[in-house]
Amino acid sequence: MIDPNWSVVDLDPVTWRNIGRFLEPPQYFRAAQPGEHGLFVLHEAGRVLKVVDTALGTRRDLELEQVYDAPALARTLHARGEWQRVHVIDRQHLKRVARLSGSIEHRPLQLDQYYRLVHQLFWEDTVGYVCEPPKPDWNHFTYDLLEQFVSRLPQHASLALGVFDGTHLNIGLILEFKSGSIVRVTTFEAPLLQLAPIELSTACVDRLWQQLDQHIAPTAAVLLCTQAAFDQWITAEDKTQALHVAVRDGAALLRLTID
Amino acid sequence: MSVKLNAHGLEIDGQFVPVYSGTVHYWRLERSAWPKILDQVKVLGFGMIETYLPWSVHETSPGHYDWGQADPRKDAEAFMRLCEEKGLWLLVRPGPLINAELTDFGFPDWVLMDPDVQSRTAVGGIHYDAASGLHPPHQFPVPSYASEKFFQYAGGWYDAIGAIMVRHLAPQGCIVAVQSDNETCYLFHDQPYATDYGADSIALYRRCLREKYVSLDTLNAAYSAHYTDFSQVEPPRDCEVETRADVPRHVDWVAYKEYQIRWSVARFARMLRERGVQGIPIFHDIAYQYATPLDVARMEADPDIDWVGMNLYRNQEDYSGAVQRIRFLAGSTRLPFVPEFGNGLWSHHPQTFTPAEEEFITLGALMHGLKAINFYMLVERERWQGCPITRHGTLRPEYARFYQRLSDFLQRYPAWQYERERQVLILLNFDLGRFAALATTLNYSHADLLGLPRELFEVDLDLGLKFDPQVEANLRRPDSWLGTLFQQLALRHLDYDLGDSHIDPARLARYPIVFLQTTDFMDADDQRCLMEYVQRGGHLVVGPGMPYLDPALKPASVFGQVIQSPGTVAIGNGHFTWVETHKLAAMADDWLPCAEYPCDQPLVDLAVLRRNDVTLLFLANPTAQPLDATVTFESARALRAAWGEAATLSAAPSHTFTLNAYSIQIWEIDHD
Repeated sequence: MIDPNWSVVDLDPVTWRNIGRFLEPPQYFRAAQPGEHGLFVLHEAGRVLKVVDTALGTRRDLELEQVYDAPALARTLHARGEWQRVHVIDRQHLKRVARLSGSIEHRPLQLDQYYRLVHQLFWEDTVGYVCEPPKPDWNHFTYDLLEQFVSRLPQHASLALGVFDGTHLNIGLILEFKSGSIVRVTTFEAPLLQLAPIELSTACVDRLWQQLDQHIAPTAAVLLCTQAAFDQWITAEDKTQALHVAVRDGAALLRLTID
Repeated sequence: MSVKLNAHGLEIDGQFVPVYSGTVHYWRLERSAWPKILDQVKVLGFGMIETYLPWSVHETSPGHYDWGQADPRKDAEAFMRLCEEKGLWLLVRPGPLINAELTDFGFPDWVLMDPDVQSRTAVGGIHYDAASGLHPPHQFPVPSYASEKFFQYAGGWYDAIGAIMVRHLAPQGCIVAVQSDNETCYLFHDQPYATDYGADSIALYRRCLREKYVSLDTLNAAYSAHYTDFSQVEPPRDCEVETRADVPRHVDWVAYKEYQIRWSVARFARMLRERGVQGIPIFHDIAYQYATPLDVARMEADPDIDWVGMNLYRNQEDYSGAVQRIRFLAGSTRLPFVPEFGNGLWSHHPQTFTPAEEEFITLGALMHGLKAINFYMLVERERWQGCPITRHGTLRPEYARFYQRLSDFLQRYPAWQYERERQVLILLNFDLGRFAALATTLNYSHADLLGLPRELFEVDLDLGLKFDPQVEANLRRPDSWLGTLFQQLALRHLDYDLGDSHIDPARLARYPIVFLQTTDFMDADDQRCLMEYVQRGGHLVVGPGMPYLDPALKPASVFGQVIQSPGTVAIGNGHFTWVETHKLAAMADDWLPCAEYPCDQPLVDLAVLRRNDVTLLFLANPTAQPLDATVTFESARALRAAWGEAATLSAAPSHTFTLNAYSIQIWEIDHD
């Protein structure tokens, strides 16, 4: 999905500041959520090495010495109601992930594929890292969901996303895909494009569609929406339904050449 | 030397030239746009620029170089000639590592794919750069800086680029300084057991041990071991400390990781000189660390490395982190220099700077003693945004305005010639940092992605020490000795410099009082150096403990021979004080000087800079809320705005300032 030689150019700083929060990989990996009160039990094949409470530091008073059944321990500790999430982590598991991911065979993988591999190594082992409640998917997005979307794009395609706070453009993002990989990332300020006025209107959708077609790649999708609609789409469990509602309410304009 | 380094900048053929520079990546800009872009650089007020010389961009296949023949943007020498035509000085950074958000960080693929080059993790895998976070667009195997094959490859690159550089060295040419490698430090994977367990690295580790112990008997005594050859010594691959006897082996591995960085940076510097890069300073840039495995003082003490700087990319919320690093540069280096001062950011950064943020952090750095600066980047390019000049050569007005104002300000008030009013030096205990590093675990690739609490990475060692090294080494702990001291200095608005216990002793004479964090252990030679400072008339204040062990936790006492309990003793022409944490606040009044200009707002950061009869008062509000602050003067003073358009304040014994959130005001104090 990410071409190793992708071009990322002409980035307007406002757009980039606003999408920066999506560019932090740990949020897609971690079970621990920011600000959450958690308990972390680190063990090595059952022998407890350290117990850390995010509010109180090391917890020797819990007198945990051995982990016999990691899921049961996580459930039992969580049931005490002291912590929002309990993590039971086998150090051997982390070591194994490092060893398996650190193979020269993974060099040809695209970066997203490599991270996906790491994610799978972390989470497909059901006892290596156990937490209660279980790790949530980030805002109900999954890699499979993204793959499905990309697989439906034409061989060469461009996409545009515009997010508005009133008349102010918060995000103006353009992606070019070739054979399922992002080969170019740019913004509405790319010098070839004549988009003004940039606004939440069908006329602007028309301009974007035509300009992307002409200067980037055949246009596959344009989505212009309000910041509120965008935020709802990001957090919604049913992404398609969220878009339908936003379009119905006039908070989004969507044009697609794919289903 | 045709170009000399001094405490304020460079002397080129006898003429002073400040290091006031910004980055332009020629190979990423259309060749036809170069002249326009360099003109815009001059419009912003810069007389010096910087560029990487990217290995993989030029050496397109082994031994074959594109110097513009295939891609005109790659004509590095034409770019140098253009700089000379435009009257711009040039800093160059030929790597071999450059990062620059290039795919594979500027290393050619065939170099990275050579198994003899690849570094190995403690668990035996390849060390991918992506191991400690996102480095798009592709993961690559990190080269070992101990690999002889790597140095051979890099030597070939230096042969090619060196031949071009030597034709453009100042004063005849534009190149005034060269950087040896870039942010050398295991590709951001600096936990001691994370990496470099390949054969060449372990051989270098053993050489390091041989240099330290000379004989096997000495090593065996230190390790309580029975080796019959240095080749039998294996490095620790995790914190495996059970008793004090295990500590020396771990400390030595931590120290080796420092040694490898210094050794490789110095070796690259020598390789550059061997290729004719002579008569100009060779410098190095540290990414952000000022503790192991980076030893700034010892790196600058290396005869092959003239000068060490530290890069700085900080959002406004991390003002204190930025300021501490500048204080460290001011306290520890020959010319406080940020070779990469973030203006604009890499495209995978989560929070692109606003123009106001760039102003706030830049002025904050100048306020705390920065004297040499390279803005990275002045001109946008692929994978980088938020600069004053676009890659097409147009100005971004909202960003450019600040740099034009800054250049005007520095014409009137050349910050590199100003001296800060500070009398205090704080020394971090390097041995404490090493111990904190050795007592860590979870040194496995990608563990950093899981959002685990910091304490989970720390190993609790029960070695019978009186003080917890993890607590005292953690600069963020307000309950530590150092944390308490920082609070006292902030309350009093006292400016200070930072250094560490490896500091060049000659620097100490500048400060009437030096604070040093000490716990159970400390290197005896470092203690002796500091005692010399006391003998010559300085006041050394240590705490919370009195060292009675060396870093290997073997009995050793230097300070302890002159003082046995907390208090102050006179030694030679100076004084030595031992104070515990709980008494530090109460006793600080006895030793700390009074602020020249008292301020009633403890959250405001205040600094005074002087040059001849010009005095500048800097006031910074590092909080998210507006603040009012009243500053009192020894007599009625009028103030003129040195930054901004505020009206002159007529003479009064005190003035009240309203400081917006995350803002800095600069006032010139009228002396009449």
